[in-house]
Amino acid sequence: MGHGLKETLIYSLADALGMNLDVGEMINGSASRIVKVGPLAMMMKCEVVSSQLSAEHGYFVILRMRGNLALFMSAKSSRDFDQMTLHLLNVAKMDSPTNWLEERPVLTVDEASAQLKPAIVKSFVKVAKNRWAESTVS
Amino acid sequence: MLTKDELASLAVGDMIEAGEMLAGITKEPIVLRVTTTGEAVVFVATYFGVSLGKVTASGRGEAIQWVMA
Repeated sequence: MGHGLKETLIYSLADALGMNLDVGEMINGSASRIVKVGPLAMMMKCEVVSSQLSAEHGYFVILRMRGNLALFMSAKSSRDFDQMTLHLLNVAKMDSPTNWLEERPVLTVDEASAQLKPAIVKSFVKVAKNRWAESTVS
Repeated sequence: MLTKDELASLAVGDMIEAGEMLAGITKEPIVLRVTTTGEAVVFVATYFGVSLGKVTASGRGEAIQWVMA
């Protein structure tokens, strides 16, 4: 795995956000884009505030967006295709997202999802190229 | 989206939809709820109920000026 999965994670994130993101830029720090949302041309900050890059469990990132919104995104290689999950988080209902993953033992995506559950407002899984489906957190 | 007349007619508590934030994943729109009216209309923006911050729309000049704090 390695760089390929990292690219998959970032490009899936870019697709989800409708942004152009560079792999190096995102894993190492932050990106900002002006995104047109209806009448608003708003600066969409998109900063990686925590990450876990585990060969065994996959790649996770937590991104701080605007206000109380953060995203948890995971990518894990499987035989058929890379498994992607995305949780929308309300940071008012969790510990600080900054270094959230670094301050915990290495987690599986299920363990991370369980710990984040109180803050999760919506979850999605990637079911095909360019297609996501809403999911529930177990 | 809004005309200047429509902006001026908004009342506190009114809600409008401002477009999609994660267009590649879901059609859920950002929702703007009016908190203050007057020369400038102030909204609180939320996404799936999560606060994104304040948005101000000013009707002065030819076009509506939208600013997200």
